[in-house]
Amino acid sequence: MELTKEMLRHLAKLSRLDEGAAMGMENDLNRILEDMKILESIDISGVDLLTVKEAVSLRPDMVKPSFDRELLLSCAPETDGEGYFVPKAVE
Amino acid sequence: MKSNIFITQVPTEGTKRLAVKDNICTKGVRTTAGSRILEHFVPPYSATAVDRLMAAGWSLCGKTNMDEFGMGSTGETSFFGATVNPVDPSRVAGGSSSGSAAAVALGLCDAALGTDTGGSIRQPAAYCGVTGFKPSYGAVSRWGLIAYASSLDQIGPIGKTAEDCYQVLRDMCGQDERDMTSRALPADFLPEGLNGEVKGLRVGMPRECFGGGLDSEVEAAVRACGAKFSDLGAEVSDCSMPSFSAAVAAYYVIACAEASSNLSRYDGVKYGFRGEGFENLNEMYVNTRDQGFGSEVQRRILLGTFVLSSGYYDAYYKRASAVREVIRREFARLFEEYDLLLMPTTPTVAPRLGESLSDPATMYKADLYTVPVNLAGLPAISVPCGVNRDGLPIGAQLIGGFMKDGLVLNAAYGFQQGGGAK
Repeated sequence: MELTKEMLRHLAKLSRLDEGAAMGMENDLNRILEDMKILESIDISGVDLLTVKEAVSLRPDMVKPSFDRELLLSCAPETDGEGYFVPKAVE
Repeated sequence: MKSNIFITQVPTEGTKRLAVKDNICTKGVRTTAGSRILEHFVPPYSATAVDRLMAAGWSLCGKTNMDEFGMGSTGETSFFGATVNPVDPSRVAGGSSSGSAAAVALGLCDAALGTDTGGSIRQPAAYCGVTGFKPSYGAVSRWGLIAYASSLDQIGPIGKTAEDCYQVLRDMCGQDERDMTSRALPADFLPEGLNGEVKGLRVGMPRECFGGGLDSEVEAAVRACGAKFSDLGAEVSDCSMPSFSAAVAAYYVIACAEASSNLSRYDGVKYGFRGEGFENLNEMYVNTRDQGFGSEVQRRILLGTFVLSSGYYDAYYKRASAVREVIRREFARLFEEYDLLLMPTTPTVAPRLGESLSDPATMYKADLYTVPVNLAGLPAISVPCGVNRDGLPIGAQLIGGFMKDGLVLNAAYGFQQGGGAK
């Protein structure tokens, strides 16, 4: 499997990364993928990934105080004190 | 040359000084994950591990440098500059817990926290000549750990000795209701104290771990470690681990897939760096991530996105997950016959600065001894077992069965009390 420039453009779009930077990684990524061919040599018959092996432990379903809004918003680049400011998403 | 050990130093008068890797949240103290995208991020809460350690009398002395988001094996991908090796400053400290390992080696703290997703505690410990322990998956809460690969990440201790690691682990381990992957620990998880008794322990040395590509001085030092365990009364013998060769490939598929998902939260909206020069929302996302992430992080996100994408998911991610289960079963079979496995931590001593990053495919292969442990969720420790002709440290790795953390620490303690590295 070789990544093409077209595929890299698509992957960059999915990842919200710069297309030019992605296409500059074509050779490195293809070398890495070449090394992954070894996965095909391992016998995986008898492995059932869909069977749940053990139950996860759950905590009691109780309402607890939420996080302090002001403290959370203080981490953000731009807010109005109630929500986050971003460029318009819908025209 | 700057050592670049700490990203943020914290003055303390405390006697139990703890350095904390900078991907572990500390309330009110900047936490960057070694990245520009979190350069000015101050967490509104501390990780559970940090809270428990502070309550046990440890005091924070600083946040240590690391490969960006844990992605790296040399310490060189940090936005804040590479941490140099304390023994030879022309070489790397290892990664991704580079600053934590170097800080312990130089006595700048009494112990440190690192994190280990594919070897990031054990490998820098080996390169810096200190002891680094990765707990069983689920033994230490990941609440407050900035995620790289959630099914692989674990917080763990780095110290001069196994005893130091034991004390840190004892103070922070245990189930946490805020981390559903954390587990109730079995009664024999950790002993009341370490006694170093190794007599009668069955130690296996997988022959696949001593093949081509292993530096001859590293091999000699690790085999000498095996001989030492024999002298101390352990039963040491060869064993086999056929799926070992596929572990690196399985690891990088799974880790990058999880990273591509985990790092999608860095979008310039709720916290962290916001990029410049955008005219709409999508450009804000792209500019933020292009300007905020380094190239190794971007490479792994792209790889992860690819292996999860339509048409390739079955061939890559699903197959890697199945290979992971094969590896886990192989370990489980070995631990029916052995108490511990012994192998090198790394195939070479610390490489020189600047040698590794230009060839990521080759750099990834150097993780061959450490990543199988993360895939199976097992406990493992790297202990110093000698130096090469240039005085560079060599680490030997002991691996135990799931939740046998106490046994691993005790065996390492026994080795170190019995004379350890010569």
